[in-house]
Amino acid sequence: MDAPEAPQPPVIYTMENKPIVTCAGDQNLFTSVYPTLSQQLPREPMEWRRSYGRAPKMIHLESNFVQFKEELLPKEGNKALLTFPFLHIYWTECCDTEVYKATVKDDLTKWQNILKAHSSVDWLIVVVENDAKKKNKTNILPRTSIVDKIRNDFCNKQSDRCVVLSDPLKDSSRTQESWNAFLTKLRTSLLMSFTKNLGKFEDDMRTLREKRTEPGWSFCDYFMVQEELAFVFEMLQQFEDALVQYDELDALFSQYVVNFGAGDGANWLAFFCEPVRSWNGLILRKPIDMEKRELIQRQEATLLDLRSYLFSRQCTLLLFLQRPWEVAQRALELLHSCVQELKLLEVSVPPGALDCWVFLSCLEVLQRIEGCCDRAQIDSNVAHTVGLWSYATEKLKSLGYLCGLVSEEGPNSEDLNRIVDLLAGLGAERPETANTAQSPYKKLKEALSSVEAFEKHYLDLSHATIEMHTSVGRTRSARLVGKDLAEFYMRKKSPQKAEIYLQGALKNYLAEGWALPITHTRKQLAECQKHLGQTENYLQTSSLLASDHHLTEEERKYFCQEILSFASRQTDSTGQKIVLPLHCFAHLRDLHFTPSNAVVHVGGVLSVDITLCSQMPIPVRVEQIAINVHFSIEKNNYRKTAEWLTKHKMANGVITFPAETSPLPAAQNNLPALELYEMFERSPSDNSLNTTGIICKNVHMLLRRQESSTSLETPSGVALEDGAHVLKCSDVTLEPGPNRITFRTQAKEPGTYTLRQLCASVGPVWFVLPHLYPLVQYDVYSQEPQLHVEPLADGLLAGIPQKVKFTVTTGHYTVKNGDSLQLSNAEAMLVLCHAENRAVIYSNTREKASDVLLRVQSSDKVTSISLPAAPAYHMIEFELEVLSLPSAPVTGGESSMLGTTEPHRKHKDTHRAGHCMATTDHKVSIDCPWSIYSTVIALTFSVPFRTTHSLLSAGTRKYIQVCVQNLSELDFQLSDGDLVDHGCGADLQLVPLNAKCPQAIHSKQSVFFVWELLWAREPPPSLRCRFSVGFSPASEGQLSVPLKPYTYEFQVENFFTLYNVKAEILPPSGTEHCRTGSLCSLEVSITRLSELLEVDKDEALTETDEYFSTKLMYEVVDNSSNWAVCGKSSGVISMPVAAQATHRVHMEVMPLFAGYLPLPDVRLFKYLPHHSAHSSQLDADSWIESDSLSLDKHLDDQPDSSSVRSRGSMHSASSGEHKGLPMPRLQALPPGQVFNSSTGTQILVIPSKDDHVLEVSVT
Amino acid sequence: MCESFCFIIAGHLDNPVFEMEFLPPGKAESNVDHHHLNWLITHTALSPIAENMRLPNHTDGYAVDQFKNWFVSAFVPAGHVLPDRRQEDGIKHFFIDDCDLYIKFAMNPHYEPNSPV
Repeated sequence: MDAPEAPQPPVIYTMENKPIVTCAGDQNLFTSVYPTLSQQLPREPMEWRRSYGRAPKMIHLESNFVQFKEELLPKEGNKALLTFPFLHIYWTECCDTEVYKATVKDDLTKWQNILKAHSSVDWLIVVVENDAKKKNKTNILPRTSIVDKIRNDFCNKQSDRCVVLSDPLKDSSRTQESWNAFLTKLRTSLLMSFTKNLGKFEDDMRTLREKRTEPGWSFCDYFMVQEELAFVFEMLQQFEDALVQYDELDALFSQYVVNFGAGDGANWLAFFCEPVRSWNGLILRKPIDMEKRELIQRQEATLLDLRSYLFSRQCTLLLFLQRPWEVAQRALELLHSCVQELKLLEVSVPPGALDCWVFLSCLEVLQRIEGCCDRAQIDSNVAHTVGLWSYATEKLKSLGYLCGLVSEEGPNSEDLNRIVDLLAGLGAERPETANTAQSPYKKLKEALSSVEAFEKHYLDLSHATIEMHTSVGRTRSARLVGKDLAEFYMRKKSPQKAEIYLQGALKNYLAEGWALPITHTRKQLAECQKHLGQTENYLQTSSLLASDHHLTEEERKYFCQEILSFASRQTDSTGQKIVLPLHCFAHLRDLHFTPSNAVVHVGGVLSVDITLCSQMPIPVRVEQIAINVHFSIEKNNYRKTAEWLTKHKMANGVITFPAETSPLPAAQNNLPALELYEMFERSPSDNSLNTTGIICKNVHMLLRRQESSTSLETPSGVALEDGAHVLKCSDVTLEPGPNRITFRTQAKEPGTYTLRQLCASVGPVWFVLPHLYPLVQYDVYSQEPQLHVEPLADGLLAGIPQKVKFTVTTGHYTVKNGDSLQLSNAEAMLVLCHAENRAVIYSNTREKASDVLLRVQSSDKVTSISLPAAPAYHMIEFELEVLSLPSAPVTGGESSMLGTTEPHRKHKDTHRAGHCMATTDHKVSIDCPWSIYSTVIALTFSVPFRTTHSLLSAGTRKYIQVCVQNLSELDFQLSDGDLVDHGCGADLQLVPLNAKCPQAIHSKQSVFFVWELLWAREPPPSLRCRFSVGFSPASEGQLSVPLKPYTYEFQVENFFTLYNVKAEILPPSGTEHCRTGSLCSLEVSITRLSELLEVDKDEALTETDEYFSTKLMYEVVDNSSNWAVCGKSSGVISMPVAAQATHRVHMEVMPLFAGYLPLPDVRLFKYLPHHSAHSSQLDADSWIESDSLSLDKHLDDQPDSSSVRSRGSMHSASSGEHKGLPMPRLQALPPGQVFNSSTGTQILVIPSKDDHVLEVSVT
Repeated sequence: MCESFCFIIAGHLDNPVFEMEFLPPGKAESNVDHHHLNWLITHTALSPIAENMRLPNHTDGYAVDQFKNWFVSAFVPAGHVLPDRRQEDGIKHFFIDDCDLYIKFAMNPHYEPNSPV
């Protein structure tokens, strides 16, 4: 069974050994049977059951049949298995008993004895029967007898040891049958023999292995023993098993080496520590490298020899097993571990020797694999071989460097000597490769022969390796080889070729953020760019390196110095600017404005502080640092008003720039997010949880190879903006680490300024930060001067000094000395001038700038406030006290005519329902120095008091009560309440009934004042009174100004009592009390108290013979339904106008309830004749039309009859034709004219006796 | 023979997340050249690791790659890649411990995936 994978048979050497079977007896017979036998034996496989639980195998048996000789039998202690005869067969054709007895039996016995002597039990006796012979000798015994005899004689109890083969050379079914039986027997016997003998051998081998800790144990001896087993497996074509044997040996040896490294050295290992003298690589073209095997056998092999031999055997077996890629993989491991082991064992190796060995071995393995695979197979399995290519390249490179083949000058004599030594170690070329043109040996020799040859070979190898790496997608490995290649090119002084490789590698490292490789590659690239004269790129790389913390301080200084020296070289010439990105030079950490809200007025000074972290290792003097500013006028002007800006822009104003996102791979950040899902696996039987975990569902997306094509390090390409607005800072020395740089600018045009670029220039080298992000802006605004006047408290109170705050926002106007505010005074409002008025000047940022005395000059018309000098965009604040003169709205009395309003008052008093204070607006017109127009400011003062008055009567005595109600939140002190009549003088006297001392009036409380009205002569029909009371805030002690008293003017009319009405209820005669349901008599007596007065002169008055009378109507009304008036409840009487004239009326009333009942009301009206009654029927339209003048002032206040009458009189002429029915008209008498002396009296009514229900009304 | 170890955790963007060098006692500082070489090798080893990961039966691959006499071992827990240099078998335990530690760390809500540890 040749290995089918080998298209080139001469290369694959099969094991030529076969298990040996000896043949004794009739040699001629055997010779005749042999062709058939050797052909038939391997035809059918047999199952081989193995010991130690190894899996049974189907096996095709072959044998090497040799003539039996006693020498073939192994002697005691001989471990050779290959030459071990596994089966002994005795052939006989004898069919004659005589012959048997005469010769065959003896021969057999002798044969058996020899076998027994060597304790060999694997034998077989074959009796061949031949029909032809039988025919010749018909008289012979039945054939069975010979077989039986033999069985009897030799095979006691093992009758199957004797096999009959009938007519082996014929072509009959019987022959076939017999052959099959024989072959089966033969195979079974062979396998039994294998099992037994190999088992025994393995046992022995294991025993030997267990002795490995004993001092005299030798690995080489053991190696030979186990290899014997491997040979047998190989012989049986059990390559897997054979490989296992070698792998075990391999592992054992490796373990020893590792143990040696750990200090546990075995004696026999010392031999492998001999210096290496030969490094001629692996030899894989022979199945067994007998040369090396003998070295091992003689215990003269070096480590490399042993490893080489071991690997060549493994390689052979792997190729038999059709696993060429495993060969490649194992080869790489072997080469690496050999190098390690040599180090571990401290074997002395001449420099370069190992490189030679590895190089040769790599190529040998590769060629060996190529030898047994076709091109397509190789191409599709590059992944397995590329490691070897890579390793070979690397080793060739190091050989080149070692031997001076990479330098420009070529190798010197020392290098040449070394080359010679290395070549000597290779020895002569092997005969099997001597004819191959491209043998590893020849390649190496040629490569070492000259600089040019080396270059050719190295480049070939490198390019092939890079190509292979790339083709299997190992870009990173390709980059690494490329980096070596670049180094090579640099040595060869062709930097232009090196650059592309370095750039490629750098791109890759940058994309994945591997800092150290980036640094290293940049270092190489810097050198390359320097040679190429790419100034800009070189400077950029240098700056990156100078800021690279992975480099040593010296290296960084060197690169920094490179930039500086370039800069200083170029200063004199007018060379081009070299623009480099700033981030490799310094990092802008933060920025902040002063003022911190980055809002400044026109002409104001703005400073910008930046913190620039210099990445350079040494201080660098920068000629200029500039910030380009883009100016724009904001369209939406509202958003840029000073108020908006100062309010809305953030306060602290520190803008922090994100640290440079150092080596995170930016290009790959757009990968999809992990999609993780929970996973539960339940057992199908009982649904219990078996496993749980997390699955990433988009692994295929995430683990996909990313080939970033975008270059991450574009050399500059930074555009310098040329803006008109630049913030500059010259001659700055940037120390390593953070530096604080301040720019100052004076704001010019209003608008928005955006900081765009940051440039730092060192000579012609410009480091530019192309975009400042986050966006940084500052705003410049212009503001008109403004004046604000506002009360300090919530509301201003009239009558007491109140503070008002004046705020002058200067805006763009500069207040000069002598500028003043001119307040045109409102008459009822005083501006109180104190000596110590102070104004505070604030800057725009509310910082107090100064505090100056304010001069206020007051004349009659104008108050002039001299403003202190203040620069533009400042605020002047001061407070002034103003006093609104207190006044109460003038209201008429209960029965009086409306008094005239004061026409000179400008203010408008408004009364609102409830307890709202009356307010007064004062308009102040202020002339500001910055404007030709006056500013009009309205100040609203609230009157703290509400005053009402009422007229009280007791018979003819009259009292006036004034109620002062405090509506404000303040407490006041009232003093000197006074009431004067300023209508008619002395005949009227007002007698105060009030306390003299000041009275406190608390918030929301009232104080009452009462005066009695006394008169000597006939009193006037109306009184004009003025109430005045001094007041001052209770909380404040001494007031700076004397306060005007609070005044209240009112009129009282018709206050003189004309009639006295007296009602009386008398119980029915004979009873003591009134009873419910029973009629009682009501006596009403109306008495005239005075003679004819002015007030009586109206239409109701009639005169007959100097005798005057007036018509009155009385009416008895009981609103509370206590009484039922029986009969007429009202009537008209003619009342004589004379003192003490009395009219009595008698009526019947019936109490409806029991208890003390108030008397029913008796009302008295004037009864006016019908001809004067038009006005009462005036329709509403003419009312409104004709009242336009007085409507707004008095309509709501005075809905009483007096105004009606006054209007009525106005319209009486014009409305003559408006006639209603000629009805008499009633007019209520004013309350002051009627005194009801029985008001408030009650009468006891007792319930009637027969009432079952007692109703008691208590009022 | 100097036994120095370099341990690098790479994130799934192949970026280094954690880097640590274990030097043999007595050797105060590794030379810079050596250091960057470690990184280069580890970086290069990512490709074969990724290839191994794509194999159907990928396990915690030890001794993924050998390079310039350095052995690279890698441990690929679900989702993460932790390449490393190796000398010993104890590395498996080392890896498992590291993995535990890293997972604990990654559980921290303040930790942004792939950022350096």
